[in-house]
Amino acid sequence: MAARGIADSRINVVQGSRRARLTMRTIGIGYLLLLLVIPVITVFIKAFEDGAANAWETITSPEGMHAFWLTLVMVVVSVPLNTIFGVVCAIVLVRHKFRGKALINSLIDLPFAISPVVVGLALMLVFNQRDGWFGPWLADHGIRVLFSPIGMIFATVFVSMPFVVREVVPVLQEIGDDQEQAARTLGANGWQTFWRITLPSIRWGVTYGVVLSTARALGEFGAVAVVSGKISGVTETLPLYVSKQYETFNVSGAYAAAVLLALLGLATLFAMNLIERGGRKRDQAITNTGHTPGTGLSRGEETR
Amino acid sequence: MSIVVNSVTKRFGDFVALDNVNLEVRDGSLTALLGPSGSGKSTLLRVIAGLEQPDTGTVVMNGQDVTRVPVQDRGVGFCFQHYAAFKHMTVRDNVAFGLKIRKRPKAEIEKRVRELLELVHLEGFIDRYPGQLSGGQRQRMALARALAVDAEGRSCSTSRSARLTPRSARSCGPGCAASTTRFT
Repeated sequence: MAARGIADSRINVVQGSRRARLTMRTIGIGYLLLLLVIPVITVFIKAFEDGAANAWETITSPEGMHAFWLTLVMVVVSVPLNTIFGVVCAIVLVRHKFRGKALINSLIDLPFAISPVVVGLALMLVFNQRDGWFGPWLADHGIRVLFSPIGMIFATVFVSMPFVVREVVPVLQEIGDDQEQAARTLGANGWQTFWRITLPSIRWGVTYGVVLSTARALGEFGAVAVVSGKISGVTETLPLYVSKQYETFNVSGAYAAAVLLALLGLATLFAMNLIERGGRKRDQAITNTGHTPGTGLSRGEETR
Repeated sequence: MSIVVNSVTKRFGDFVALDNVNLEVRDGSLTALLGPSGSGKSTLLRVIAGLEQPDTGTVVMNGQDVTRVPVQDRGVGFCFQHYAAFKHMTVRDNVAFGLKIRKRPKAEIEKRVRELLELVHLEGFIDRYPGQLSGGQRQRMALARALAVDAEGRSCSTSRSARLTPRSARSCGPGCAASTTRFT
């Protein structure tokens, strides 16, 4: 009993009483169940309400398959773009000193701050073929941006831009530039330093940013809806297809397509978990086994 | 191999880190820079290694002005204050880094790495990661890594309290400038 009492009093300090812990847990898990798990399950149930045949038909119809492939194209094009430019932007923001850095830093969050519909409308203004800024010139050269996959990629890139930058910036700040400088004194040029030192050090930030922008690119609705014109079988992505099916009273079909979309998203999360689990295991071996002696010096006293 | 620093000045904003500094390190000598923290020891070594550009003045090595030679071509071994170990690489890969960059044959790299690790008494730690080493071991690894590319024996160490034993300090070879506030 005495030992039990000691254990309990220790828990009291850290986590509060047993009742408080249970209450916290109930609130936390209940919130997740109510807002995340139940709606997703409902979608799965609803999808097969009118039988699997209708669900299958909606997904495998030419428009459905086209929407599926177009969604994948959006991801495959916009995610690498955002990854490459995201890493470049993060390095520039953390490692370089220049005027207007604070402005650029806050500009990167712009896509999070403004509604995707506004992004779509802005792209309309810039690229429409009658009186847009670039629209007429591009039209003369045979390039159609609005109501075509090109404009949809612009919209997708725009709304998913900040993820990689925002994940990589804190990691770069954390690791500092000691290792990069050491690589330079050992004879590595900038490119070699990036591939051998910087990239391996920031790979978790990059991975997480990629997953988040993939999820966003898969699900983007507002901006893509505006610039695509929602032409079935031409510029319709899965989210647009879902909404079209719903509007045309093919409710269970809409849910079936929604399930497909949700599965794509879940696959992304699952893939990340797999990568992360494998990598973290290795990282733990690298950083945490044995003793980790502190350097005894604060980071402020760097070489300088 | 000699190092000559001619009236070097370096400012960081309003702060004058180096004010008209002259230094001559003769061939085969071991030099210690002593001074309170913030007095510019590390900055001077960073200028010598090419990690900082001086505002005025020149750095001359072996009679050649290397002031404008970029850091990766200068070939000055450099031990960082916090060792700057490559955390995602084993001790072997850390020490081999500079040799791999120089595209030396594999067998030669392996042989050199083993020699250097023997020199700093880390031969048993070749497959460990820096996170699995103690502070002193990490420092010796950083030393071995710097020496690997340091064919002509120029090394700068910015350890604040160098836990280098006199013996391992001597093993830096000739022309070694060590910046320390005290030797322990």
